[in-house]
Amino acid sequence: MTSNRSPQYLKQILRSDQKPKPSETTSIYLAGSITLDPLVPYICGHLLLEGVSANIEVGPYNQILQFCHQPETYIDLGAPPDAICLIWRIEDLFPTALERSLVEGRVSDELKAELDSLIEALARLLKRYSGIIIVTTPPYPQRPGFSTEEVGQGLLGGNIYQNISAYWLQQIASLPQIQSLDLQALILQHGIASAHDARKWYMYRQPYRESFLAEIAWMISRIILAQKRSPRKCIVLDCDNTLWGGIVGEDGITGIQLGEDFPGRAYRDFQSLLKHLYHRGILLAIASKNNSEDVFNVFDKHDAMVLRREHIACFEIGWDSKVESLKRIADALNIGTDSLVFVDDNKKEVDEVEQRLPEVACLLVPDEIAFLPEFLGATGLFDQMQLTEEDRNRSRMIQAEQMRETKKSSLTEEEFKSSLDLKVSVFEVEPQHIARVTQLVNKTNQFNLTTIRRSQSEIEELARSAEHRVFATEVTDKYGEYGLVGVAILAQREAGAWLIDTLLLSCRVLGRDVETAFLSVLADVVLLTGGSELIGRFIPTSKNLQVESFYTRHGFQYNTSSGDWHAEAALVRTLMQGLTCKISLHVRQGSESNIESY
Amino acid sequence: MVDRVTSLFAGVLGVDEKSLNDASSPDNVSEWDSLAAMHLVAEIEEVFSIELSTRDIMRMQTIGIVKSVLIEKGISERDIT
Repeated sequence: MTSNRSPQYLKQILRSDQKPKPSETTSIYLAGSITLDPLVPYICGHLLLEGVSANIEVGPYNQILQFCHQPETYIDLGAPPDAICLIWRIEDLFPTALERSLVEGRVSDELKAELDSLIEALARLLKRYSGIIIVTTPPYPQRPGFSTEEVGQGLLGGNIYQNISAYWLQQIASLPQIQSLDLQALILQHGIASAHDARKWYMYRQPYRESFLAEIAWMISRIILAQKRSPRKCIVLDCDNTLWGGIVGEDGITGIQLGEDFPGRAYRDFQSLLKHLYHRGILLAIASKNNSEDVFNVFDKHDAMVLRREHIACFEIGWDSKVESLKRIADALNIGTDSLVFVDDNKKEVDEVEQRLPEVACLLVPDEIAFLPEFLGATGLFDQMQLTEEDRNRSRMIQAEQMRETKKSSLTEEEFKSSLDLKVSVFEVEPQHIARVTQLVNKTNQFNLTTIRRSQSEIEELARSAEHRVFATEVTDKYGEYGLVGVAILAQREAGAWLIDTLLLSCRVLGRDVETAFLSVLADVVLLTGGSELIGRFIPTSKNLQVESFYTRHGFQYNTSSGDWHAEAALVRTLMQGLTCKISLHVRQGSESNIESY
Repeated sequence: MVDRVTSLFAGVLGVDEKSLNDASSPDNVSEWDSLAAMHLVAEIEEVFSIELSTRDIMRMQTIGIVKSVLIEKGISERDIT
């Protein structure tokens, strides 16, 4: 994806009369120890191609520390940019301390102190600014003594750099809200020599070639997009000439290309990448025009298969159109078609899906099969800033879900619910829950009463605020854990009334009365706090119509003047009496915590 | 129709092509500041697929000189006039 966006192309996009129509906007502030103005068109171009119009401001040259300490003199903190991106190099910020390290043959105390001062400055910035902060990791210094071409100098420069880099990574880990952009890794990938341009450095204090600036811009864009969008949830794969070479229906299980030698090796490596994504929580599905026994035969019996049946959440094998298969897969997995990525080697199939299901991300298997193993990674489709426990366990949860489904088919709805031994635990969020809570707040579409999206730091702020309380719910049953699947944010209003600012549940617990349990516990929280009234709010979107009547169903009265729903907390609390699940509540009261079981 | 170099300058500087000529320079075009100079060099190198030396870059103080530098670099005169 990066490779076909040359610097020239990105600039043309911005000037073109037929530029793509953006569906959203963002604002970014760039500050650096190098000249950053040339990055602007590339970030704008990349984001525009992803449907985002960016408004970028570049801060004055080499004032990163001043900026962190006094952001108000550079940006309007009342209307701050969505993201701040700081790009710095050791040799620009701390040249004397770096030179000193080379003389001493180790990371000098002076340099450590300087690095600490930058970390401290970032910590201060974090207290004043709650948007996205992107900070680069320090790249290998472009200074005498650090030359990669010096022979006979031992490994001194490289050694010192490794230690500086390790020290930085260790320190920056204390600020988990900061998004690190691994500039050094990006330079290595591009090649040190081809990333740099000495002419530009001396003329403009800008060390990089245009093609490399476009790469930095792509990484920045990806970080911003990953915050705005939920990553794709499922990859739907074709089989013949996608997972293996050849056609199993014609070449047979022994004739297909898959194994240690090229091209079979490339298909195998592609499967290894897919398995890696599976372990990160991306679902895999198959949509193949084949006889199902042929495909299952390969999955079960071919020695060189990396993927096995257990890695595949859903098989759609038959002669139907891929469009229908994709729809059925989305249905079966209870996700939207906009969470799907479709990979196929057949241009016609890809075109048809692109036309009829434009929300699906379609990828055509590259013509050069050697590029197959790497082509998914560069798309940024699976970028996710923080992997949560739920992501890592997702595949196990899907299996538990399949067992539940089997059971469900033989029982009535009520019998099924009580057979589950459902336990719903509601608790006030702690720091370790914030990442998952943020993820749910930003990606839950269907069971979401208000669909208010918030950044991680905004959630942290609400959790600390005296006027707000942030709750989450975890659900388990006899088949296993569903994990952290629901979030509610209560905001205090006058006279003992609390507004349900946010109420959302992951689809995977719907139809289990968890929503009623959660709501009734929230009512109890209000009572425990000395309040008496709950105010519900419903903000319709194109995706949350299933909760339109949620408050009516739970006994709330619509108030036409406020547009909100009102109910006595005591009344809502009684709803838990009719439920078969076990419910518990864990609240913080000052430093004490209190557990209630119902 | 104006030549490719002038139209490139007009595009980067965001000014009307007709307001530029071979004598245009940072002294008489206010949009041509140091930031614009940086963008101009990147654009010229990409459009004509060449690499300018720092000596060339420092010499290029008018559109006319830019054209002669490009001709020295082997870009055909037909292409830029």
